[in-house]
Amino acid sequence: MLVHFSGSSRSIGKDIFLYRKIITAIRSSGHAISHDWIETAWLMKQGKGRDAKGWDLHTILLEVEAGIEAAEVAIVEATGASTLGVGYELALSLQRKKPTLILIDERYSKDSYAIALKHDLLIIKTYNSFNLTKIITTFLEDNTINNKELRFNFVIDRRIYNHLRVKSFRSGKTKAEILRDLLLDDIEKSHH
Amino acid sequence: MIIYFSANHRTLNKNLPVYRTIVEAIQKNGSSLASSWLEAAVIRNERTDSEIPWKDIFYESQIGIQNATAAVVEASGASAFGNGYEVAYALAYGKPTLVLIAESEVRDSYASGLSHEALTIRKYQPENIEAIVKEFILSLRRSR
Repeated sequence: MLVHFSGSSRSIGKDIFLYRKIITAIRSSGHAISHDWIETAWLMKQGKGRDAKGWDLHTILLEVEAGIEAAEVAIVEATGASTLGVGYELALSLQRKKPTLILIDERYSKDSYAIALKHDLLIIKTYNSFNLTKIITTFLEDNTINNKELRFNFVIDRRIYNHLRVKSFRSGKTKAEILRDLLLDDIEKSHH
Repeated sequence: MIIYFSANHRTLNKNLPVYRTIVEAIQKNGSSLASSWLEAAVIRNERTDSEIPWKDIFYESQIGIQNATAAVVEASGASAFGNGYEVAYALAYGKPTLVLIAESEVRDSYASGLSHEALTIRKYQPENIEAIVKEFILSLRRSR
């Protein structure tokens, strides 16, 4: 599964070990990062700083958006006064219907806007150095769907059944195929 | 026209004159604010025992953006997580959004790299904020 990770690149100097721990937890769970920005940001901070030539913000943000689009879930480190970019990327992840985990350092949770957010796809967890990995692996396990076919019972009334039966007869498709097509169409529309 | 104005609560003390100029510019040009949070935040800041009420701020921002015609966001420098969330939220709701970035901080600003058809990004100096906000409101009126 591809995971998009958002964190403040401004605080990379202070938080590089934290971010590496998060990435390690993701990879150790058998998943991959959709947009691997951390080590680049770290090198720039060390050697070239934010004056690096060719550091094109528009291009970087396009890559971020592509990373969010490609990912199946998102993890956001949103402690304290984290940046506009992290808030923007969080909102994009939710708008793209990605289940999202927000991580907030428990020492600073009172100071965090993120603790107040509400969304059906959002899980907010305060963490410390001991439980961080467990929080991440639990979130990833809960959101891993195998590639096998999934089934569930779909209870309908007579009116829906008759409608499906007529459509099936006219189109030559099975009732299940008609429902799948409707849902795929809806998924497609929700991405635009 | 109803405008939702957003800015960083954490840098309120430092940027209050700028925020007030923006609010006045919105009101002078015949628009009203979706949420009058600024002066309440000033009073709260004066009380040393006050925590920032993030839940209330979040709830009001969602309602404010949904009800507004457009949004104006001051997004300079190391601007807040909440402002980024609100910019994306306003754009998702199709609200024309003006993002203001202090000219001295453009290079450092994530917001300066954003692009969206409903988004207008402007660098400002204290002397020309009012003109920029006025131009944005006039452009909204022309497009209606």
